[in-house]
Amino acid sequence: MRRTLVKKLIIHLVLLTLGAAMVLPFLWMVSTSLKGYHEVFRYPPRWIPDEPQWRNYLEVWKLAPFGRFYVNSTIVAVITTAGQVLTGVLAAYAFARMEFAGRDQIFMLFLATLMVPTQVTLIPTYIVMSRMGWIDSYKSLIVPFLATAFSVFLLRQFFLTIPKELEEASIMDGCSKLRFIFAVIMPLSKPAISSVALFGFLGSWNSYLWPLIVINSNQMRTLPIGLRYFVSQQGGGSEWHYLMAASLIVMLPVLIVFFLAQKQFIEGIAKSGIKG
Amino acid sequence: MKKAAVLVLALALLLAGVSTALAKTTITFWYSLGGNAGRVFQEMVAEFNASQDEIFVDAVYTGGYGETAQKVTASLAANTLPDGGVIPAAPLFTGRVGNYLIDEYLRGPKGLDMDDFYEEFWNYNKYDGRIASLPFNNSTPVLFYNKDILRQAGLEPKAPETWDELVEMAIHLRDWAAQERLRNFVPINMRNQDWMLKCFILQNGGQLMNEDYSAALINEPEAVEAIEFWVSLVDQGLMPAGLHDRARDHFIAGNQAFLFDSTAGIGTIAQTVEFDFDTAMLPGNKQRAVTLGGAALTMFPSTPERQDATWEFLTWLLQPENVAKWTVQTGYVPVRKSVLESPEIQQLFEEQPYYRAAFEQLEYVVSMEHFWELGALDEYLVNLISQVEYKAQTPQEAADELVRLMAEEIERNR
Repeated sequence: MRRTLVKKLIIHLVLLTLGAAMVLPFLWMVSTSLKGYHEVFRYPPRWIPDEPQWRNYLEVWKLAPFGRFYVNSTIVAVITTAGQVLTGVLAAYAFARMEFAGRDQIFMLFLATLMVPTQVTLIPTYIVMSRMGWIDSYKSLIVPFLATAFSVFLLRQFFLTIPKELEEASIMDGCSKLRFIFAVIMPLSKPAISSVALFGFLGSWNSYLWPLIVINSNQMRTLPIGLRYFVSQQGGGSEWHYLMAASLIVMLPVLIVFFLAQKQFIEGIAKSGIKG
Repeated sequence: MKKAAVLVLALALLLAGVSTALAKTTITFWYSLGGNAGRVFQEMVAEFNASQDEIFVDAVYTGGYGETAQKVTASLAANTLPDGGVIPAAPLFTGRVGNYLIDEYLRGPKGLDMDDFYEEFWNYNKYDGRIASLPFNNSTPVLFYNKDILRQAGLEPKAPETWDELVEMAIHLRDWAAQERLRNFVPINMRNQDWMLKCFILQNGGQLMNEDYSAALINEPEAVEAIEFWVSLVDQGLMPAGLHDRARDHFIAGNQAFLFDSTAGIGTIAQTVEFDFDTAMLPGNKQRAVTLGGAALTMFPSTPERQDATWEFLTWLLQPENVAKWTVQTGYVPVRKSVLESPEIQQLFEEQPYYRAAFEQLEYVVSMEHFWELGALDEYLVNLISQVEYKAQTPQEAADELVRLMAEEIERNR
């Protein structure tokens, strides 16, 4: 009894320390977002600003068209996420359950694309987009990301854990393959699908370089580019207080999504065989 | 009947609207300026658009220098370039692909008074000996010094003029700090260390590249001496090894007497420090020298009509009164000599004297043309500095290696 208590105490102490390490930068961000320009650099630094500058949030909203950026980011992230889940489920089913020549080789090839850094494919993809006439449109922000090797991989690993007997039984009852996927596999794979969706959403929501390169007009831009308006070159005075306020505005929906889905998110990772 | 009249009227209005819109030339202009400078630039664009009704400039922010360079590279490959822009390393995206529109316009009937610009600024905008962009948002390194610390340590609050004076003052400060038990104190540190080392090499009479930019000369005696001087600062405990990116924060926090940093940082530092500071020209050795940084204005090929409109906008930005305004509001150096005498700048000197040194040292600017391996040189210099500071290599060895790597790089690109 005594020993388990001590053990629990130690575990919680370690967890609390690690948790604090994760949360402190975020709290610092909140603190900085409420400071004035001068206060940001004050040394020694202070956690609570003398006079919280709530108007920073208002200013930021006015300095760049964040409303429009929000709409763009949401459209792009939602469609990209839906696309990744759909293509991921279909491809993962094929790789996990169907038998065809060269299946494992093709899967390996698919996985290998994870090793190619984005910088390498940046310009070729740009040229493809430009030939299609898609520069400066939603299409260029969405289409190249509708399928990813990561989502296929994660879902395939999960599908492998679903017993084969289930499929055999369903087919015996006259269920088609497609119906089996949507009616049986998908509900069973909720944790894996929600983590694919979350990764897809985060990736799209945070994406910076690609949108910056393919989008030319202010109306078509997404949130991360909006953040860059407050960063200055050569250190000639980045406006940290605005930057942090804007970052919080941008992070908010992601935080909400995470809190709502965190159970599935963690389960998805734990059950799909990816272990650290 | 009435309906028809309304319709005709509406159509006429619409046509009138369309025709004025047609008469207006719209140009797309990318700019790589964030924060305050970005906002000042937007204001200037709005002012230009309001000042006349033939040209409309659609200014698009393209992120920092690195991202803008990638965006321009991609657009160059796919042929989706804008009409012009404030672009980093602009000559590499224009002159290198045979675009010398700027040079042609400069020589044309609507050219600029080139003598009013510093010669070295033109040099900075050349590719292969020919002008390929226009100076606009440039900065130079400058020496910031904390006068309060100098006074406390019993020194005269004056900036060192030479390397020897710098070392002498720094040694005094080091010993004073040891006596006072100021553990966080360092006498000297430098931000953008590769940029600063270039200045040191030039100040010692060395050179970075040969005349046609086909070989680095950093392993020649004058340059190696400069690197040795750099290392000696570290060895004597006058400057920390590494940690160069923290230099400005350390200075702002009042823990550092001398900061080598960009003139572009003057505004931030002036607004944040709570002690008495000033700026000065970088100390010299065999000579004074500072190198140039910053992006440039440029133009990409389109139709003659749009090119003319772009030129109109570029020259408007470089009118003396606009250069003065740009300088006062951003802290970038004035690229035209006449601007230094303008009332705006004189008033700035009076209100914020720390801009004086930054602008008056422009006559000591030494610049290189843009050449393809420029980025590689900077990267190798950063690497060289950490190699010598941490004693992985002697200055001579590190310099020899850099020269060899540059030769390979140049060979690959020929």
